[in-house]
Amino acid sequence: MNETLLTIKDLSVTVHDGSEKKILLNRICLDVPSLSIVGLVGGSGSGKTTTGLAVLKLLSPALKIDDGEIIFQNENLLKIALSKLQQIRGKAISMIFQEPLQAFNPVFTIGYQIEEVLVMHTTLNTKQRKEKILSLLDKVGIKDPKRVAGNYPHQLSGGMRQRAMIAQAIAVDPRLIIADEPTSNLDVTLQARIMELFLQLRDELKLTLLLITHDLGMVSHISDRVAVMNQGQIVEQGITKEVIENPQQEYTKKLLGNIKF
Amino acid sequence: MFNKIAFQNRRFALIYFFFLLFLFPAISQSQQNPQPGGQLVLATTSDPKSFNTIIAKETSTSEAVEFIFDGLTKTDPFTLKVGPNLAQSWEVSEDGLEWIFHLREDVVWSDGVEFTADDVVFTFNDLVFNPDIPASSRDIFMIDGQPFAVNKVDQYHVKFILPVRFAPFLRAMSQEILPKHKLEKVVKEGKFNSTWGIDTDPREIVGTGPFCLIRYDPGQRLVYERNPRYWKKDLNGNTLPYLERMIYLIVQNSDVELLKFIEGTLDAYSLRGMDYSLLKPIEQKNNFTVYDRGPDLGSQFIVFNQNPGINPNTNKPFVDPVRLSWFQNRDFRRAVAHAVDKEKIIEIVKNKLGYPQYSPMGPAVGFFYKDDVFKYEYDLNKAKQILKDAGFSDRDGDGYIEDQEGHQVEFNLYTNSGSTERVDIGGILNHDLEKLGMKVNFLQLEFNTLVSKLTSTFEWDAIIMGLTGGVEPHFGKNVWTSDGQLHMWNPRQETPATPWEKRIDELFSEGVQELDEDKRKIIYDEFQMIVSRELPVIYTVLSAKLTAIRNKFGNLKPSNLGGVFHNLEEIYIK
Amino acid sequence: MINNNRHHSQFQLALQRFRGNKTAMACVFILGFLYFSAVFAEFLSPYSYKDEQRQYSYCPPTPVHFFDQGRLTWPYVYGLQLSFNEFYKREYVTDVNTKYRVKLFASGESYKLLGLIPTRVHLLGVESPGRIYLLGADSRGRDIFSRLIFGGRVSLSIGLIGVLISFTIGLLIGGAAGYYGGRVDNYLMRLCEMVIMFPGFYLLLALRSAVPDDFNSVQVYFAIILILSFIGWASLARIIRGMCLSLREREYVLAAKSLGVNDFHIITQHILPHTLSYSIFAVMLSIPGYILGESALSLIGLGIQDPFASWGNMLSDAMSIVRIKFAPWILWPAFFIFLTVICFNIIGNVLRDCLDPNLKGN
Repeated sequence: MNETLLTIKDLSVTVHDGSEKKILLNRICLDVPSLSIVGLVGGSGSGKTTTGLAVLKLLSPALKIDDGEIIFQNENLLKIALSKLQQIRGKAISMIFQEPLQAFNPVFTIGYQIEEVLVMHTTLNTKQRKEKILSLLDKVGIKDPKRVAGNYPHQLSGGMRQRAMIAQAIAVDPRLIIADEPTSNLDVTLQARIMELFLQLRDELKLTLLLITHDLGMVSHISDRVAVMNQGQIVEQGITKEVIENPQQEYTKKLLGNIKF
Repeated sequence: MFNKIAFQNRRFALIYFFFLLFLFPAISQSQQNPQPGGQLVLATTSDPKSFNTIIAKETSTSEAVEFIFDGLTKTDPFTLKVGPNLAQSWEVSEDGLEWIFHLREDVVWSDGVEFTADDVVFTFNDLVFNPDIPASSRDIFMIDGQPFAVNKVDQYHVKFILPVRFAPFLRAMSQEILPKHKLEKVVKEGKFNSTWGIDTDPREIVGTGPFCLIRYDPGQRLVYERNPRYWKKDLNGNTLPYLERMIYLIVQNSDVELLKFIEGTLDAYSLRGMDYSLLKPIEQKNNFTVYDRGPDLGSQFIVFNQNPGINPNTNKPFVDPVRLSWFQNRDFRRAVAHAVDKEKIIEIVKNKLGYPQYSPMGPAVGFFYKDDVFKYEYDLNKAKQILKDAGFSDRDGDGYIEDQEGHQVEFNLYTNSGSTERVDIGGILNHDLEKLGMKVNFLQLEFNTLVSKLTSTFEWDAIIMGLTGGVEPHFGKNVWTSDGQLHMWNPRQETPATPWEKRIDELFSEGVQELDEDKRKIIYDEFQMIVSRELPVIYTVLSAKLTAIRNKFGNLKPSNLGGVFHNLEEIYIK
Repeated sequence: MINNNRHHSQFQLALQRFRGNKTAMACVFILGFLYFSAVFAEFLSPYSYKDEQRQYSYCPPTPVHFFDQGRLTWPYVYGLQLSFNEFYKREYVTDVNTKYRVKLFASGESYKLLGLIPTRVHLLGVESPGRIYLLGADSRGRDIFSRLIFGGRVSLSIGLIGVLISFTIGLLIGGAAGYYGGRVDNYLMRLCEMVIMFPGFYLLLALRSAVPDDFNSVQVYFAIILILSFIGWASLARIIRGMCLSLREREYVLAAKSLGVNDFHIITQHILPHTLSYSIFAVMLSIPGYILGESALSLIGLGIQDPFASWGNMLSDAMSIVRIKFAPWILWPAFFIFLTVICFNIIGNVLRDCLDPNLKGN
């Protein structure tokens, strides 16, 4: 059960900024073992979000993947056909975004948007879908699933919205969830609750989680492994406890220096 | 008692003398010399396409050069007799084949060069009969496919040798004579077809007529000035014309023309039916007179396509064979003729100022006109009966009739979108044919599209069309002989398709060679009977030709056949 | 922080504002009435559009009398006799000995109400052989009032259907161009520009001449709708494309993509609905163009053909100052075209103001 679910190998991404060519990711190598929580940490501009988006090939058209492989379930995600990739997105690998208010379409209800995923990836009929939506919302700790399902995104609190987004992400039982700064916009207590939810889901649903964040403190509490990024490169990677207690690189030390334990 | 009578006589003499005194001014006025000077402003609907009257096919060109050139003869629009013009007299041989014209010796071209027999010979031999020049009048002069010989006898005598007798010969000698000295060179260089186009310097267009073109502003006007060298003189020896200038304003829209006439810019205006109600009441106030010149000389009709031919490009017949069988059926055409509501068409389309038409020649033609031809009057019940007897009836109750094989009677009827009159006639006819149970798709097409259907593609069912006309029946040969180009319902036949078409061919062949007018009349009478009975075309209505002219002009003699200003050189400002 | 506001969508808020604008609502009612009369044309018009009575050519509007010798009575009309005076001007002489009662729910020509129920009932009629020309008669004695209603059916429906087709094409093409960008965008936008570049009226004529000659009236009707749609979709597409270019950067688009939603779904569900606020008033403002386009074609004889009525082809009868002088009622179609165009324009402009969040008062 400790096989590697996702392997990123020598991933390089560049962008053409006018006449200049800027390197965003420089030969990134990352391993995400199955059923683990891996933290990908770095400051802004380090390339961590780019890495996360690259997995599902969601990068903006201006960004070019020069080189590298992303192996998932024995397939190189960078080379498979779009139709196959669309079967993986949302179904085998899901993403959770930083700001749910932006990530949800304001003109549709929460229930409708979760249903969209079910329509895309399952053959459930309307009644079954409605039931599934309610059970998903319940699973993520929402007390009144029926009301929330009928609400529009702007009618919910921040925490509820984040939970709803998680519900959407787990709708079709993915194996891997990539969470990009999932709690950065929440206050500290909510952060802790969401983290608890992740742990709970990891155990219940046998999920693997790639947690992208700038918060090394949170990572140290929750993740099994951690990778530190700086300026498009993975500076240091390993088991969390080891990296925290025995940082090898200068940059890691600097980051750690700012953290309260 | 004798004394009383004498006294009475004296009294009467006195009265008579005073009476004369009052009359005198009137008499002297008509003998008075008309003052020269002044101008005439008329309107035309389109720009001329060219000033080259030999190759031009449109009326816009012939209109533009009407007063620049002369022919050897001229037809009097009232008596219809052919009189001298550039030729002062002529002799014809016993057999009618040799004509010698004695030309006027006092004629000079507008640029001063003398007019001689050379010009006449040049016009015919080098222009009309020149195979490199598509002369539009050549068809009239080709008799049995042969031109006639034109030879110079001496400076003022020209001899014409015809291959066969040709009754319309003298009338046809109204052909305009063009100047050899101006055009000889371009003919030799093969450039005649592009000569005298609309960009020509007006001074190049040299003629013997009363006016010369001095200016052409495209889209706006044509300006003519009197030809000081014109050969005609009035009774007192004054040179004609009296008028100093003539202007044609180019006005495309009839409503604009009407307004220009009312406000005073135009001196004459051709009325449409409804214009009469507007203009007649203000005749006195605006100082003009509306002249009714009688029925139009042309014709307007519905023609069904009876062409059995096959399109060589697609190998499909020109006309759907089912429809062809209807159009070739005279009873079908007779029923349609009974559905033409001539009376109401005249009321609605011509505002009651029109005449019904039944045969190719209308009353305006004069001598050759035959009034008692076959007439199919508006009677829908009769039409329905004829159709029923011919096997057409509504078998399936859908409101439309089917032929004996069960095909629903449906066809396309076209006319040109530019003519509101024809569009209105089409609408009325469509309504009545629908009552008979025929499904008619009435469509308006652009004029050139329509003409090309008639003359080159031949793919059409029925068309509402009009033709211009004339007093000489033979000049309609193109339409009536079975090999004619304009034999619209079945053009250019190799052998006549029906016995009556064969008979018409024979009649035309006889008629052109018969020099006795009365015998000719019998021939063309039969022709009109055949056409009115067999209905290759179904005639509709003729307009009444009404022209409004300002009262300031003297010597006005509006005629039906010659137009209003046929004697332009005599007209003066009172 | 739970918001109990019932009106979630921007669009519904805008509608509320719209309902408050009296002029705009008046226009909605006028248009509603016109479309209603188009649907029930056969019932509302006393006569068929092709019912000719040539003896009543250019008959002026028939006066309806409510009093008979000073006493109020059931409305009636007199019989009329046509004669041409010395100037060949039409004069209709009233025959006071013939009185024809006006009938409500009269029995007239049979038809099928809504295309289904056969009936003979018309709202108005007159005892035969009288004729009631509420707005006068045309050159062939056809009732202008009836033809206006039937003509409205043609002119108004062409506007509506045409714009719906253009709208759909414009949305899809604009959406695809904006969403995909790159070469797809390039090709599609160049196509748009080619269509826009063509002077609209001449393109209209060119396309019309490509329609086969033997098309019957119904086919010509649909051909004209297609032609008008073909010209109209391009400018809408361009604007939609611009909106989509920015809309596709929204995070919910990225989120939907990450969930495996396919492109078509994203374009139609997540992107295009956000262009609706612009699209709706653009549609309103462009409907007049279609109505005028059909009128222009019919005016020159290339649109709806006789005997079918459309406001445009009724006006081609009126293209003569002499006819207008003697029968001014043939100009009624111009008034209705004008009215319809004004109403659509007002509604479109007010909608746009209501939908614009930056406008004061919103």
